[in-house]
Amino acid sequence: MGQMVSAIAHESRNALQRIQVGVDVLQYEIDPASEARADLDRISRAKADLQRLHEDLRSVAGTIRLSLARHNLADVWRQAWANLQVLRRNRDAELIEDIPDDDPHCEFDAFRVEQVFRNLFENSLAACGDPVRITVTCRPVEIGDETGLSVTVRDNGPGIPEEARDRVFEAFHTTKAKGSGLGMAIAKRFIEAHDGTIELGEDAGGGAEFVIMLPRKTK
Amino acid sequence: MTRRLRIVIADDEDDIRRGFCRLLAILGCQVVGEASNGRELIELCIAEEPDLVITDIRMPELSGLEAASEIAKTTQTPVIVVSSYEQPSGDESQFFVDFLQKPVSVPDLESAIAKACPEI
Repeated sequence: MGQMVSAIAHESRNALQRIQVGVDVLQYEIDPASEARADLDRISRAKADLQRLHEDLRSVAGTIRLSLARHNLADVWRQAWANLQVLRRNRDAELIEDIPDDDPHCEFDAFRVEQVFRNLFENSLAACGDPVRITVTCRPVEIGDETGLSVTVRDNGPGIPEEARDRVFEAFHTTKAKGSGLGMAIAKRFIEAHDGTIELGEDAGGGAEFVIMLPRKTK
Repeated sequence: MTRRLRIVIADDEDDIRRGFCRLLAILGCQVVGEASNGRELIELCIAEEPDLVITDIRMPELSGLEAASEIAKTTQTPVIVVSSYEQPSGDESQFFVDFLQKPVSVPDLESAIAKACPEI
C-alpha cells in the first residue's frame, strides 16, 4: 500500500506541477480584468482542491515520517485557527481557551498536529451555525507511566449523530455535504503516530467533543 | 537584481521544463540551457557556467543529485532541487542549497532563488 501511494504521489505531483506552472505563466500574461482571468482563477482553485485531496490521501495511506521537536501546543492550535481566517470570514466564530498555568509543551511534529487541529476546527465551522464557539481545554495528565497532555476540543454545534459516532474516524466517511471524509481519519493517524489517542468525547450538553491525549515525549 | 541571473534548468518532463523556462523569464532570469537528463545538465554547466542550476531528481542516464555531485567537484554553482519526492537527507543534501517539492509556487521559487544567489 505504501509503495503504491508513493508511486501515485510522485506521478500526481508531476501532473500538478504541469498545471501549476502553466497557471503561473498565464497569470502574468492574462489581463486581470478579463473573463479569461476568471477562468484561470477557477482552474487554479480546482488545482488547489486536487492538491489538498492528494495530500490527504498521502496522509491517510502513505508513510508518515515525523519531524519531532519540543513545541508549545497552544501555539500550534492558535496557528491552525489563524490559518482558517478565510473560512471564518463573515462568520461570528471564536476560539475560547482553557489552559493550565504550567507548561503546555510537549514533543511532536508541529506540521502534523496543526493539521489535526485544522481538521477539527474546519469540521466545527462547517457543522455549527453562528455564533460558533469552539473551546479548547488543555490539562496535564498521566498516560500509563508517562506524563502527557489532554486536549479537549468542543464546539456548540449539533454534535455527532448517534448513528455516525462509531464511524467518525473511518476514511471516506463524512456527514458533510462537501468533503472527502478523510479529515478525522488523518487526525487519528497523526495522533497515533505520536503514541497518542484521539476519541470522541461526551455528547452531553450538545456540540461535538474530541479528546486528544498526547505524551510529553514520543517514543 | 543587478543583472539577469543565468540559469540552467533540468527536468525530463518537457512541459514542466518549458513552463519553468517561461516563468523564469517572466521573473527576470535568463535561462541559458535546458537539460532533460543529468548528463546534459553537467555538459551545459561546463559550457555555460551558469549562476544557478534548478534540477529535478529522477531523470534518465544520470539523476539530478548525481549530476549535482559532479558539478560540485568543479564549480561553486548553487543547485536548487525541485522534485516530487521527499527531501533527500544524508550525504546527498550537501550538493544542493535548497529543496522544493512539486508543485512549486512562485513565491517559494523566488525565495529559493534569492537564498541561492543573494548577491545577484
